[in-house]
Amino acid sequence: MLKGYFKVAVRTMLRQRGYSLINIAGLAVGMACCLIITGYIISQLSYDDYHADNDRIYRVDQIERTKSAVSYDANTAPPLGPALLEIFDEVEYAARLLPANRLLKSGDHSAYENKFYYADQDIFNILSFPFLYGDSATALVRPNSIVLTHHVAEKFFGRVNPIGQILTVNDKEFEVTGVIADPPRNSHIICNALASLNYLQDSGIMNHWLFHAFYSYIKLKPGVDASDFGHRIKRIGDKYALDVFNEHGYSYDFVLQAVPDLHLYSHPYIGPEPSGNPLYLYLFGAVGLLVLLIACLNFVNLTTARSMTRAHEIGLRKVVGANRLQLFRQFMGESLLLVFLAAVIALALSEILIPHINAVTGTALETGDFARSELLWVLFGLLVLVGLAAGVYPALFLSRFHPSQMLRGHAQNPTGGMTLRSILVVVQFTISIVLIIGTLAAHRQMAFMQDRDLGMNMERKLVVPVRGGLSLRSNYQEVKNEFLRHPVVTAVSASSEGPGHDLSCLYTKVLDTEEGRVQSIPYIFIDGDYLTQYDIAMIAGRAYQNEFSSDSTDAFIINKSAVAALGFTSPEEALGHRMECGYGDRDGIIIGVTEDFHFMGLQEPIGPLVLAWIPPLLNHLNLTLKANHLRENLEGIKNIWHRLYPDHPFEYYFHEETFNRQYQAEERLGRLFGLFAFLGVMISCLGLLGLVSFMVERRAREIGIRKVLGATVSGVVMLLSRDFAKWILLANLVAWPLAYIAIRRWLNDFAYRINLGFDIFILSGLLVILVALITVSFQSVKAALTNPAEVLKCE
Amino acid sequence: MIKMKNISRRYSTGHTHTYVLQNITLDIKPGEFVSVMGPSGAGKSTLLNIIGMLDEASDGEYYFMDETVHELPEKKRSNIYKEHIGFIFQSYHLIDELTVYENLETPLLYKKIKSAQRQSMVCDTLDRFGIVGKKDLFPVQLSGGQQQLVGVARALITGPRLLLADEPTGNLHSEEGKKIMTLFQKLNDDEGVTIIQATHSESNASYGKRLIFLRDGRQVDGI
Repeated sequence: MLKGYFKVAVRTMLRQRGYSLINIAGLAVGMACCLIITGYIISQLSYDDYHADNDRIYRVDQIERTKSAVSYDANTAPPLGPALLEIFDEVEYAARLLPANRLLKSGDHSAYENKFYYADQDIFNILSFPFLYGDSATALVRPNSIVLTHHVAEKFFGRVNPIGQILTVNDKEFEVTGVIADPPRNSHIICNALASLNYLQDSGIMNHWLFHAFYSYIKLKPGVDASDFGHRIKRIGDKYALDVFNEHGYSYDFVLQAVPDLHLYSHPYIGPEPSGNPLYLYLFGAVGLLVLLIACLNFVNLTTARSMTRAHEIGLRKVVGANRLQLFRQFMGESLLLVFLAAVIALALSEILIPHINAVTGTALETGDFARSELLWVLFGLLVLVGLAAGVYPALFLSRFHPSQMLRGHAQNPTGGMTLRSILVVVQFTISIVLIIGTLAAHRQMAFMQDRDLGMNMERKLVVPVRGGLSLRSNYQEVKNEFLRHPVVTAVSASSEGPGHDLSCLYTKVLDTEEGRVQSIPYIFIDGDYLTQYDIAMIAGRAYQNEFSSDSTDAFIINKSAVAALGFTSPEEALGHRMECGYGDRDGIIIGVTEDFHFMGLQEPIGPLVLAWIPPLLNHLNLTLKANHLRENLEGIKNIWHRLYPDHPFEYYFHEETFNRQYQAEERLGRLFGLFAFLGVMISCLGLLGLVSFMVERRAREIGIRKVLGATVSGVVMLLSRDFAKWILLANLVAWPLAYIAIRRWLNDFAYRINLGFDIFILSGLLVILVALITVSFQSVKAALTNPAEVLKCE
Repeated sequence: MIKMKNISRRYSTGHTHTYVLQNITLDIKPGEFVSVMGPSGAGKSTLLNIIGMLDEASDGEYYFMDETVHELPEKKRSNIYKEHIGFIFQSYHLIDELTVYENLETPLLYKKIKSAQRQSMVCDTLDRFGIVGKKDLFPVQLSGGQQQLVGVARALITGPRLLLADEPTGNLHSEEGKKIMTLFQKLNDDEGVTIIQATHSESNASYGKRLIFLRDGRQVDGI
């Protein structure tokens, strides 16, 4: 019996090749979407699940409070870890990581390593770093020891075991004591090189409770209640440094964050690697389900539409003795066959698309990920679910046919059930239109953010970091002059890492007012040429000038927002006041106030900023280049660099590009929406195509007769297209309010946003109508051109 | 075998009724060979459909082998006709996706007959009708007469006591038609199968032993 059903199912499918193809294609695409999104969600949720005992490992973060501000920080002070270990029995291990940029060199090979960390030996007992060479129990005990990841070790030492070899770190010698496996991509922190923290033992910073630059990790003993423990460590800092805190007006609460939660649930702008956003997981999950829904609706629609042509077979089978259940099983079987084929194709499609998915979403899926067990179960679940759900209605519908109707030659439902079909098509297109509007809005917001006047001119700015042990302190004027000699360079300044990067916040106190306000404010360190070079406008006082030597020892410039933050009522009032900052308690007079400019991405409103001239902290050169042939002139600039610093690799980036990287998440969102909008429309059009074919077939005789009576081709096309145009119009009417609400909600998260103008909606509507009409026209034009004689043959 | 009292079949079209059959009363005994005659639209097919339980009468009583058909639920009715009645249509009505063998096998499948027995029944039937060589062909590959032959074979394979034939030779030319009618006669004479055929061909009707005339849904002459 089953074999019989299978045979008929295959033959039926082959007979209706066009429909089967459309059906399978639509369903496969919908399923592939679901699979891909599931893969993405699973990969996001699986961050750091590979660590041993990952229900006991935590990072300790802090909440810093001053009289006027609260801020959350993942970076903590060095004494924290050892303090927790000493006081609390519940702590089994404590270890710290200190991020640094270092120049690594071995023989001729040198390269900067961004993901370089100083680490405590016990970090290997908290986070899992599988050792390929060396001993994890002793690797970082000695001060000048360093552990490398596999690919870094290979870069410097080739494929041999590098244990015992020497690697210089900013010109200091370290011995390689271990090689660890390359960290999996789903890690909240990626360490390419770990040097022993004991190297910094004598440097004096290790006891400083206000030097927040470390990541502090602990591992609790089994059976400890983490939330209870979290409460008990809250004010632990007070035990050691309460007077220091009070002197500066700070207080600190410490909180535990479970390591597996760090990727998704920590505060967005902190943490070593880009974090995920749980909102996006929900969003994509919803979108994936919607696309699958469209595909299923298609399936139901197409299958029931074809039922007209099967009335004959169904009635006949009933005459020959089939009961309703047997017919139901037969049609379910046919559905399941189609669904199975679609699922196989979906799987193959997902695998093939992995590299593209990674590019668009920035995830880390690997080939073969879809063949891993969890996803396969999801696939099966989907299969069964979709097959059952999509197949049930048509199967019920079809098995209801009565033999007498078949014999009379009438369709059961003279309208062919077009009402239900119309509703399904409207739903499909509504979803697609919402997605299209979302895409257009996202792109527009992106373009807006990227094009908006930032209040500073980052065009044609080449930034050259000066690090790896180098410093501009002694010779920075000469260095600038060297670069200015190149014909393409029109201006040079020095600064710290500028806008587009996370800025460090420093403790800032106004010294000579009654209130003596204290704030933690972001700082950019600049020199006398920076403000003119970047076209930053002053609204009070003056800019730094190279002629005044006190500008680099006893002066500060703040921005407009800082004025209010520091307790002044106007920029003019702020001028002349003395303030102190947390860098070695350096103080100075406020000599100027700049206009507010966007030093962070446009998602954030402009906050307070201090632009301080502190020469030791100037570690980037900013070169303004003449407009033409930017990239070609890099050779010349590179040569200048190598003349100055023969042993250090030349690095650079264009400021504008780096700044725009802050919009990466939004860009990805836009791309993903675009992708799904495209898919949604495609599937909907596939469904539309199937339906039009069906409708044309059903009305073939009517069309033939109309033509005989004198209808023109365009008249016929209009006749057929009219119904579809109605549906799409309706879909637009439903989609627009939905899209509007959703997008307003998303835009609210941006401090600077576009106005959601009517044109986006109209554009989307027109786009969809156009695409739909083209789809419909294929079939309707063909029908309109058919010779009536062919159609009107008598049976 | 068949008793009908005042059977009517009507359709509602808007506010009016259209009667396809009105007040049909008849009594058919087992082993009879009845021809129902009448012009197009007289209601012959409808009558056959009602007898074969493929359609329901709007009024009247219908007894089949002493079962009160008009009061039976659909499931029971379908069991009866599955068991006892074979239907032959004018336009063959074969399932195009199935081969001749599979078409013959289908009614047996629905009766849940076991595989080995099915095989022997199908082979017997193929043999009896002389179409063994065609068993793996699809209906589109057969001529009209051959398709009708298969249709007859399929109707007979379950060994029904009643055979209903709706214009069985309507689409055949005279040679093929004669073959079919002779076959019917043989079935009726040798095996006592009750046959009711609807036809407007006098020569076909002559193979039968009794005539019923229909015109505009009513009986004219005959009992």
